[in-house]
Amino acid sequence: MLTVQNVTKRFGSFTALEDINLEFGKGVYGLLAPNGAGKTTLMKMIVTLLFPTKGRILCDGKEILSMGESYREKIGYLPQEFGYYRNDSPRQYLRYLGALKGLERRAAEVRIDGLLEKVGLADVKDKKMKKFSGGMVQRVGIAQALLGNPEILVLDEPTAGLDPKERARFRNLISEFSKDRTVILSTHIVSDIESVANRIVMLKDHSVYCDTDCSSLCGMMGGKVFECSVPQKDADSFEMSHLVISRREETGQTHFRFAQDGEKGLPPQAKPVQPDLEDVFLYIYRED
Amino acid sequence: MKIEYPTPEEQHNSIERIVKYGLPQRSAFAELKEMFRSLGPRVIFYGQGDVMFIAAMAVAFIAYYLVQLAFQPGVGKVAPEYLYSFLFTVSPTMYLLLCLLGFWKEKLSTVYDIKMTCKYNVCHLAVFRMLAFSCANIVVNMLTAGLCCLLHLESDFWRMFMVSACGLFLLSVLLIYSLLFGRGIIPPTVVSAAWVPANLLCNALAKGTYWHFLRVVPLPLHIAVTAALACLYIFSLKWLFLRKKEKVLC
Ligand SMILES: Nc1ncnc2c1ncn2[C@@H]1O[C@H](COP(=O)(O)OP(=O)(O)OP(=O)(O)O)[C@@H](O)[C@H]1O
Ligand SMILES: [Mg+2]
Repeated sequence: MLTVQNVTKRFGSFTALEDINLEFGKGVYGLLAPNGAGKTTLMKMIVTLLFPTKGRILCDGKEILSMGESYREKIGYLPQEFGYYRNDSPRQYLRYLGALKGLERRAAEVRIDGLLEKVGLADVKDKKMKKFSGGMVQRVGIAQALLGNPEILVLDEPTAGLDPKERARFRNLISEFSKDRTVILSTHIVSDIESVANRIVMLKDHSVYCDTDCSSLCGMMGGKVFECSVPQKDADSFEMSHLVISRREETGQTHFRFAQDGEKGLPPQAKPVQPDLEDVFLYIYRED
Repeated sequence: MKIEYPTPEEQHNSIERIVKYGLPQRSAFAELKEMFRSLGPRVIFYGQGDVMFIAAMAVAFIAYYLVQLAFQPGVGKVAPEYLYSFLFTVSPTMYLLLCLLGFWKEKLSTVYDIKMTCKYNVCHLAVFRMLAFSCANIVVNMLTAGLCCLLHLESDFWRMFMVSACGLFLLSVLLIYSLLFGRGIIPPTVVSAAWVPANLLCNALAKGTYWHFLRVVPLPLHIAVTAALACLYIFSLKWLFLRKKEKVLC
C-alpha cells in the first residue's frame, strides 16, 4: 500500500504539484493528464528520484526515503526517456540491471528469457540494441521494469511508440502481472487506460482532479455528449459556439461530436451519445 | 493492581526501538563487502574501460616527464621544492580523471534514472569505485616515489610518498565536499579544474608556507594531516552511500 500524503513539489519558485493526496492499493492505476501536468514528477517522487518539497510518501506506513534499499527492492520503473547501452544486447543489458537489482544470477537468467519471450523479443535477444526500432527498445524497457518482480511497478508512458498489436500484448502482460500488485502507469493513449486501468487519477492545476474508476468517470459526462451534422457553410460558426470534441468532414456536411451542459440551445438534429474517456479528457481539460 | 495494556501504537514503537538498538547495525563497510560479493568487479566497473584507459595514459605521461627530467642533459638536479610541489599537484591525476570522467559518463548515459532505482544504485557504485580508485592511486603514488628515487631525482622516498598521498586525499576531500554541498556534478568539475591553477598560484604567491609544508614539516605531522584527511574522506563517502539529497551525481 502506497500513500502519498500532502505532497508538494516545487522546482525553484515553480510549483509542479501542490498538496497531492493519493492512495495506491492493489491494481492498475492510470495517470491521465495533459503535457506538463506533473505526471512524470509524481512518478519520480514515487521511485525516490525526486524528493517531495513538502509532505511524504509512505509504503506500508513507512516513509519511503528512510527505507532505502528495502524500498528499492520493491519497485520497478520505466522512465519516460528510457536509457540503455547501445552496444549491448537486450540480454546483456537485462543481466546487468538484474545484478544491480540484487537478483541471484541463475534465477535472473531464467527470468530474463521468460520476460523477453513475453514482450516478443525472444528472437533478437542477442542482437545489439542500436539496431533496434523505437518500439523494440521500449519493450526492452518494459521487460527491465518487470525484471525484479516488483510489488510496485511504475511505468511512465509505457505504450509510447508501440504498434496496436504490441499495445494489446502489453495490456495483457500488465493485467496478468497486476494480480496482487500495484501498477501505476501514465499514458496519453486514452484507450490503453480504458482497457487496463482499474482506477484513473487525473491531475489538473497541479492537484488531483479525480481518482475514480473509468465507468463513473464516464458517467459523470452522461447526457452531456452529443453528435450532429451541420451543413459545411455553418460549420465554423458552430465550432465557435460549441465545445467541440471532434470534427469530421463528410460530403457537404460536417459531422461534430461536442459536449454541452443541459439541452439549452441544442440543435434539433443532435443525438446524445455514450461518452467515452476521451470525451471526458477533452471536456475536463478544455480551454476556458 | 491493573496494568494498562499498551496501545498498538506503543507496541509498534517499542518493537521499532528494540529492533533499532537491539540488532547489530550493519556498517557501510559490511554493506560494501556484501555488494562486491554480489556484483563482482565486472558489474561494478561496467562501462569504465575507456575512462581507465584515459587515466592510464595520463599516468604514463607523468612517468615519461619524470624520466625525461632525470636524463635532461646539461641541467643539474631539479630543485627539490619544485619536485615536491610537482608530485603534490599531479599525484591525484589518476584518481581525478577516473572519478570525474566516471561521474560525467554516468550522468550523460540516460540509464541514470533506472540505475538510481535499483537495489545497488549509482551512488553505491560510485562509492565503491572511488575507494578502489583511491587505493589504486596510492599504489601509483608509491611507484612514482620509487621511480623518483631510482632516477636519483630525490632520495627521501617516504617524504615523496607522503606528499603525494596528502595531495591525493586533499583533493578527494575537496571533491566529495563539493558533491555534498553543491548541486549536481558541476561543483566537483570546477574543483578539479581549479586544482592545478591553485597549486601554481601557491607556488607563485605562498612560496614560503607552501614549500615549508611540503619539504620541512616533520614527517609524523605530515602523516597525521594525511590520515585526518583520509578519515574525513571516508566518512563523507558514507554520506554519499546513504544519499540524503535529491540530486546526487546528476
Ligand atoms: N527539473 C525540473 N526543473 C524545473 N521544472 C521542471 C523540472 N521537471 C519538470 N518541471 C516542470 O514541471 C512540470 C511538470 O512536468 P512533468 O514532466 O512532470 O510533466 P508530465 O505530466 O510528465 O508531462 P508529459 O506528458 O509531457 O510527459 C512542467 O511544467 C515542467 O516544466
Ligand atoms: Mg512525463
